[in-house]
Amino acid sequence: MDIGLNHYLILSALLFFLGLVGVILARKNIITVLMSFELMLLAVNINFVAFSFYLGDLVGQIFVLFILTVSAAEVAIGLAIVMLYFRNRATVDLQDISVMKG
Amino acid sequence: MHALAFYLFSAVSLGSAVTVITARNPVHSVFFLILAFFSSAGLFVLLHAEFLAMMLVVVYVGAVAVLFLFVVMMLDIKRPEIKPWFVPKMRILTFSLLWFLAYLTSFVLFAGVTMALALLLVQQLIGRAVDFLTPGLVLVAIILLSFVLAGGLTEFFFKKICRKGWGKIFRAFRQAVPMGTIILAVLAVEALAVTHIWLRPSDSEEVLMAPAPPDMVLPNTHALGQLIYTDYIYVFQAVGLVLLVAMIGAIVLTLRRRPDVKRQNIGAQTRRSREEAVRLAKVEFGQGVGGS
Repeated sequence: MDIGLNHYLILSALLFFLGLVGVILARKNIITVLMSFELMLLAVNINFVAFSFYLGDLVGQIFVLFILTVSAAEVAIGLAIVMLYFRNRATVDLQDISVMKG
Repeated sequence: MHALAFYLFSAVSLGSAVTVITARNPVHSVFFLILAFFSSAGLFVLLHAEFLAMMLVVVYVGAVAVLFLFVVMMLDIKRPEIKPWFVPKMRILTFSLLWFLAYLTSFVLFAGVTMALALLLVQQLIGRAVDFLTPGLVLVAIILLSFVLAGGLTEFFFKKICRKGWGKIFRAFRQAVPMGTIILAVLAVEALAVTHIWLRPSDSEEVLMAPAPPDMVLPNTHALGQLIYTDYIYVFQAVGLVLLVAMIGAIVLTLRRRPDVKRQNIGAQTRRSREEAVRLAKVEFGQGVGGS
């Protein structure tokens, strides 16, 4: 069976929505939210690289490189914020993070 | 063989993604995230993007996932109780899934049949085959109508077969249907536009921004390097700036100075002048220097 562009697109869509489910339905742990967000970015990366391969265009791969670096930077800052919050509140349970009552 | 590798890597990545969000131990979640990254790196290799596969392993697994592990092990994250976190949400999850499947099936039936009939009708009227976008507005109207009808039909059948407790969930869903239909209509219009604008790869030589050289001519890394340092140098430098800001930000956020730890003050040491460093004292024979 020939693997075409559609296979990669369906895989990327499934991965993206799994990450989205993780972000929306996470209840216990804010680290799970960050990891599911990384899954979403991974799905987008697969999408870009699949298009880059099937269209013969290298721009997709360059954009993936930039998405990679920006997501690494964002994870660093996000985890620093989580650690600060934990230092002040001694919990990362999402039920307890309700000071802003959002 | 290629298909086997693709299905293997994608099955592993999807399975590990599910485990990331459902594992009870957060350390297990991080481990399965690492597995997802590794299998996606395998998918990248299948797509002839070896440099990106290595970048995924080095940057994502080697830095980001290790950072996650450090933070997970540093914070005192209590393992949840015996029931997994998604059990209270299970009813809503199953209900959403069933509703979505019923909606989708009825929508496909409605829209497909109506669309075929409309195209046949227009074909009969005009006398020749029609372009795909020419009855475009009619198609959009049919899609919207099908959404509304499908929603009404699924709710009708669900009310017949459901028990009592789902009344609240029904009301909540019904509140979301108008906005959902609007969003779906926008998506349908966008999908229509894509089908009309999409060029096949053989037609699109002039719109390629960075045509990839064949693999035997230039390896993937070389080709990417030729692009990054010439056409995309500004973006490259900007990304470097983003990383610098992230580094500074992480340090600024989490640096703690303890008040009781002695540390050197290099500025004070280099600012020392001769007057405060050396003191000449006249010492009597047999007496010590004394004093300070």
